[in-house]
Amino acid sequence: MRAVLTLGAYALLVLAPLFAAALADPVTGSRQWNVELSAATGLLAVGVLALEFALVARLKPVNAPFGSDGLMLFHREMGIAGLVLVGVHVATSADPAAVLGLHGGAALRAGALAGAALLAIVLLSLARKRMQVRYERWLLGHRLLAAVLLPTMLFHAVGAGEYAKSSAVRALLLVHGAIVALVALDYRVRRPLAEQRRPWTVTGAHAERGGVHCVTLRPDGHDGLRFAPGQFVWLRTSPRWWSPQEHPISIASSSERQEIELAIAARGDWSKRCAQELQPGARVWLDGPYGAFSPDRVPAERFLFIGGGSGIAPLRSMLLSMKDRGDARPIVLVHAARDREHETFRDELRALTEKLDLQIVSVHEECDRADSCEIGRVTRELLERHLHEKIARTHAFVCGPPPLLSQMERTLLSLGFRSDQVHTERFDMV
Amino acid sequence: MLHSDVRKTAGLLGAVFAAAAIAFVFAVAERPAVDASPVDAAPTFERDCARCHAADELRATLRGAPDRTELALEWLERLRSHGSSDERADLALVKWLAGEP
Repeated sequence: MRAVLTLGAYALLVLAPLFAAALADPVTGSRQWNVELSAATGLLAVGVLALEFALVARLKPVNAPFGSDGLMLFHREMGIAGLVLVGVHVATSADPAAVLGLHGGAALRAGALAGAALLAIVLLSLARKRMQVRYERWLLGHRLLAAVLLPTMLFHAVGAGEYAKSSAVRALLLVHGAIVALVALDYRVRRPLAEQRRPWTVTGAHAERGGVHCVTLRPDGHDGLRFAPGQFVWLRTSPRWWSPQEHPISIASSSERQEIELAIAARGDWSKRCAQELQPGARVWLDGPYGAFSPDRVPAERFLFIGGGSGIAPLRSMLLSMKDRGDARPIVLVHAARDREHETFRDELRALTEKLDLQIVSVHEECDRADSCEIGRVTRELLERHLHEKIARTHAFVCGPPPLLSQMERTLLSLGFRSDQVHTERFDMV
Repeated sequence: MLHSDVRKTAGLLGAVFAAAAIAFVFAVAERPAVDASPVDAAPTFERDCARCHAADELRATLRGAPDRTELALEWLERLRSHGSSDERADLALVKWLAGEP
């Protein structure tokens, strides 16, 4: 219900300037259909693109119904939709050459600059992984281009749009501008400053199987954070509050304890450096918790947990929290890893089988004879063999690399799970 | 939220926005455009007013009045209740009589 209301508010905000334009109608002179379509797509593009920033600014009321990775995907899809709208806006305008900035006044040139910035944002985002651009560099470029796009787009819409002569349309466009400014202020200034006053100290660090670096954090002079098992935080290791160096890291510990543990998969440049630097005594700053990937949000009678590689971290948080709460609901944990040595938290999770109604199914690509594990990948047939009969009351939580997630979404739906019973968390959110 | 559901939602919203844009084109294209062409006051006065009023007299009265603006507004109000429904023409006439561009 909350998701529907949030989406309704989003659609209304995007459509509001168009409604106002249709009602106010300040246009003089002849009306060609292509020019009207250009105006309509331009007004819609302003709404879509201005709200793009609000989608990824970690606003908790927006995050809560969808989860951060779902919102990130929505942000990406709507960015492409914004580019399509701008394309139609240019192609159907009365004078495409003017819209492209080849001639015309400042407002038209601003529009051309905004269009170029948008094109660059979308192309760079789509090609980032293929071009192997480092995440930090891409993020900096993405933010700089967005900082060019948003003001120039609004200046263009207010200055060049015929419908912006209507005070109602102009006011709504300015509302979009105000939303961007307020969200930016909150996201880049207020929250980092608040976070700066709440440092955390590393009290323990150790390497886990599967190249995971586990750090324990204690709140330093504050009461810590309340989180739901399965959520994550944005970790900043730099003391500079304005630093763009932030990464989403799963909380791997019980929600019932004050100290928290983060599981950092030491794969990229930043995470490898983190594994070396985050030793006892180091200070870090956390923004969070975020994410809708939590069993606390669903009325489940039993659980199916599927974790791939270090995607086991949020599932470990769920299991440890259930142990601390004395939760007796049955759980099947399917843990996929390359081999025994890559099965992160293996020994600890096996020990939990004595405290919880927990059945662990290890799935290895390479399996030793001594191991009791399934060989290969997580398949429909494997799940059918280990699943509880009562699927209708079971909620599935899946975390791991994108191919596993995509496959599990399809497989679980084909097994009879409803989409509201399947919960996923992706690693490649950023 | 499942990624397949996110993609469906984004597609649905895209369709709603496309439908809104098309509906907008149909809605505004059916309405007549607002006529913003300038009104030529002299022939309008000749056609609608000259039978009863002399332009020079009215001009002299208006331009010689101590409070020109107040009188012009009063005349504009009188013109509005004088059977004419074209406000743009009324305003143009008063401006023309007051000697404004």
